Amino acid sequence: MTALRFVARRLLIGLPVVIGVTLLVFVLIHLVPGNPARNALGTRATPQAVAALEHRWGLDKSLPEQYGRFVGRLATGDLGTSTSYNEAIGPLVARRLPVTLWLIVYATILACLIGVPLALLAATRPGGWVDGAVRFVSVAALGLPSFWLGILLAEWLGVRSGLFPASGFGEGFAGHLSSMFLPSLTVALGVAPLLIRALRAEMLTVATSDYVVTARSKGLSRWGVMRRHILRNALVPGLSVLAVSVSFFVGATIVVEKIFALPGLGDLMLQGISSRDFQVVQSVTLVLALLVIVVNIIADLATGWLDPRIEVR
Amino acid sequence: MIRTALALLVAGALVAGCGGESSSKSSGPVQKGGTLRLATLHDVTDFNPFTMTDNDSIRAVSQITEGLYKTDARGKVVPWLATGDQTSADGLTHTMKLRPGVKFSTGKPVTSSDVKWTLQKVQGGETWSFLMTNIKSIGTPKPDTVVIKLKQPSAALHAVLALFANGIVPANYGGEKESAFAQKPIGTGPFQVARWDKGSKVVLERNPTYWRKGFPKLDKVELIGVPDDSGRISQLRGKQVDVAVSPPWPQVKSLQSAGGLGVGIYAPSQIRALALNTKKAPFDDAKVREAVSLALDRNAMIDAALAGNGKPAGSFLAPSVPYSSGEQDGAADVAQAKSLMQQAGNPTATVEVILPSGEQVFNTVAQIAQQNLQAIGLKVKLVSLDQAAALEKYQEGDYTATVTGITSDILDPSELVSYYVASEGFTTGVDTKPVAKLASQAEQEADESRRAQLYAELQQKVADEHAFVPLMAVPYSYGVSDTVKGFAVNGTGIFDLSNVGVAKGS
Amino acid sequence: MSAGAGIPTAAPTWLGRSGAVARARRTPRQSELVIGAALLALILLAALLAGVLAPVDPARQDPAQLLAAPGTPGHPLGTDHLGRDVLSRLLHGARTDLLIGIGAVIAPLVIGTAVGALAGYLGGWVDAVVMRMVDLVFAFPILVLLIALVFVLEPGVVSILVAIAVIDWVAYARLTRAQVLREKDLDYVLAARVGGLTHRRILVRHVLPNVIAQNVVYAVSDVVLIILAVTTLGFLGLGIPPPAADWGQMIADAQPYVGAQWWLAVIPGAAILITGIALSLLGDGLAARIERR
Repeated sequence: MTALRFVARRLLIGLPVVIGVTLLVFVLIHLVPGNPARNALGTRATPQAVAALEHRWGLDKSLPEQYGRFVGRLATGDLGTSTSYNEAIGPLVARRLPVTLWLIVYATILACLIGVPLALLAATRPGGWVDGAVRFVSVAALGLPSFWLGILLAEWLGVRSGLFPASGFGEGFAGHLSSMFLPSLTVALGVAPLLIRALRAEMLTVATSDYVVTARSKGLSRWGVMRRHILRNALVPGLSVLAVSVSFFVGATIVVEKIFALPGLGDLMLQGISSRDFQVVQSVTLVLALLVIVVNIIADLATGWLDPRIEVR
Repeated sequence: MIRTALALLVAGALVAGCGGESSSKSSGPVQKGGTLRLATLHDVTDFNPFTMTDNDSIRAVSQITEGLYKTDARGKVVPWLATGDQTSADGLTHTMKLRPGVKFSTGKPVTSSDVKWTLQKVQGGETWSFLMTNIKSIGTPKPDTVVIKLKQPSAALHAVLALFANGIVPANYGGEKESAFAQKPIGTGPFQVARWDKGSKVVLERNPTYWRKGFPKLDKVELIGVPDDSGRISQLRGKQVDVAVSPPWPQVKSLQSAGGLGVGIYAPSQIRALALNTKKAPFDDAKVREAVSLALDRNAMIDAALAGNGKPAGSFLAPSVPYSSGEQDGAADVAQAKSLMQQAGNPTATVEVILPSGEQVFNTVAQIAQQNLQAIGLKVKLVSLDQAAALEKYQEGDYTATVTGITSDILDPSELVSYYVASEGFTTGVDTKPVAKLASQAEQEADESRRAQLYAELQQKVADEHAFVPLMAVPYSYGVSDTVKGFAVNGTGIFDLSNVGVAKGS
Repeated sequence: MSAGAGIPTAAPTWLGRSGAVARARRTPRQSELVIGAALLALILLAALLAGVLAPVDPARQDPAQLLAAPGTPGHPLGTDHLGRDVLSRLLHGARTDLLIGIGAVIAPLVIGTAVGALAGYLGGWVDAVVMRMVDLVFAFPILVLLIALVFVLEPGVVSILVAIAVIDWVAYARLTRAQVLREKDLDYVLAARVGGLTHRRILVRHVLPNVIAQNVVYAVSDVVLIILAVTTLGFLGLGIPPPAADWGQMIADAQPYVGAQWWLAVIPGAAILITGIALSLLGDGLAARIERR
């Protein structure tokens, strides 16, 4: 039951972080100029109408009271009501979450499909021209702006060639698979260079370690060693890179969802910010923060499973 | 007065029909049934017709409810759920008979009490009541007769009744709670709400009880919110949607040449303007304001921001609004502007101009204005704020200058004029008493030509303040696939989907 | 610096955790160092001399020449939708973005190193508090935090610098703490302790110098990430207000034209990319040198 205790402990440690995140968002969004009631009423609102709406939404209460109410509701599992959509936020988020999860999972898979073979190729003959090329590409890709990449991919692989839908979420599994390809590729290409660098470095380290040298001397083939020892060990830092990248994924989804018109959480967040829908912004940040924490816990568990040397504490 | 046909410019393959079906290059007859997928700027944010204010919500609810009067595709206000209006000699009592056989989508027939309840709801509401202040009482002598009594005669009544918010809904929300009704509004229109995925799309389905036989042609309409300009166009080009609102102007030309689709450019009914706060230096000096207006190169703005599709605006009333003084030639007079600046003592302070971020047209216009003003010695600092923050600063008068826009929701000057009066000249801080007097005279005037004259005078007065400086009139535009037939837009930029069909094989 | 465009700030975590970075630099990277430094010097020179090199004022609009193609006389890289010279904007954009990128890394480097060193050395509740703050920022969608901060402070250079400092220090704190924890138990530190030196003295004299070199190297790569973040803000319309030239804003302006005038988007993006390559090569090369020492 150590794994369970580990998870419980990590979640407990995560709790102050989550509270901190909600508090920070709460303070920030209330500092930003702009008023949700005014925004909802449009350009022709009278001051009375704005005041009435503020009262209805409880925005005329003091800030600590508003935050208290938010946390109080949260304790009962209620995320509150969106002022701009006039709907409970739970279902709103639930509808958006699959899009963002699709993007993150799909991008992770693509990043692995790109990164693992390239890292393998590079590490097989370190110092060779393939290695040089892979290394250069991974260095170059570090400075790749995802918004720029997204625009160009949408135009060239989407609109011009018609190979993939340039925008939208698509219908059904096959539809999602093709619609989400370009956005996921955009995110994946942001993470792949890190993955390649980590994997390559670790593979090289393992390849020169004693037990691999021993295995080789026992007559195991180069690929056999690769598969059995090196790859498995190299997965550990690779996994760490991916786990740590989750907060990057989440950030990237905001820009990528905007460019590819995906109705995900990042898009909801941007809309929430622009309409000053405080409840939505708070709730989405909360969900995303939880996502980051959970993914990190899963990654640590997986690391422990892959590499028994690392003790899961 | 400019009350021309509203399908002013028709580009590409699309012919924006005037009600009827448009001819199209693509073959195949208009299908009965089918689904139209339409990409809007945003999803519906509010489905309560009494409180909504944004274009996309208005576009959606306009397919669901209908008013006593309606603005048609030619830009005329025509009787719709009313068969006509018998006006008393003093112009104060309007007796309207309801069209027989009209039912709500629930199957319940429309009666005068539904009309009364709806209009009173608007009158007592927070959002649109300012248009209804002239209504003294609403009588229901018979189930099919409504009598509207006014405080003063008004030529704007029919246009006001055509406002989307005055679309008739069942009295007391048909027995539902307001919150439930606001999820699924009920009306007499061609469509009803099938599903609303908040934040992404609304699915409408045909209203089986619709009173116009043979309409609507479509079975289903999906209104999909796609906030990103390029995203909407990508989806149109990729045939993921059939219609996309407001394609980015720079792409209009290439869209037209792409084949398979066209871009309909309709009445120039949105005004973009530069609002100058007359309570802040240097714009407290009328000479400086006039110099600004003279220095602006409106034609360059239209070329760069709208790819040439627009008109230099001469009034806060768009050319599509009746009695608008409409257009001007748009040429800048820098020499005159400079001499005015000199008379004003060449103020040297840096002027902050608020730029609502994320919108290409505003961005371009603001940067051209910046260069224009620098040419007459006014240093400009652009402060880019997101729309919500920009709106707050503007409405609270906490700004020096800002680029902004305004659109009329009815085809009558009274809406914007009364807002101008009530808001100190669109929050520019000017004295609006002289305008208020003219406005009430004009609204009561029964004689067309006299009314036109009064409105011309009123617009001149507003223009002479040079506080709300009109820049250009922007048309509504829609990218439409060739498979779509009969797509039409009225003078307030709202489409009517009852006549629309999709060709077979799409 | 992570923020939406680019790669996670958190890179050092796994570096620290697995120690992979140390072993990765097994091939001498003298050539990378030289190429990176030379490329960066060129870009820096172009940025500093933008005023001299640029053919015209980057803000000057020419309504008669909108969207001119590259190669147009007087406009080697063409003009944008307002008729502004693209080459001039590119050069001035280098100045804006590179200077902000380099300027913005200083505060987080200093603050993060100091805080991380204290946390690592003192341990206990100081460490716990600092690490919770670090977790907090990492658990946050950083782009959102950045957007919110820039909103609060109103878009502009100063608010971008402040916002980045508020967020980015955690990367250095985490990196420093990991190194301090490692160095703390090394012989020379223990020896110093036994020798009766004070905490502060040990920290400042012995531990920090070893840590700072690593952090500066990381800072070089971090500039890439900051430039990506700044240009992303520019792309979202929240960066440096126009008409100042900024690569991100140039891309945002070019987005509607990507169908017909694709070069308008490609050129500034390529500039970001090349700057990133220069900085990353330099960073890698420097790291390798430290490693060999």
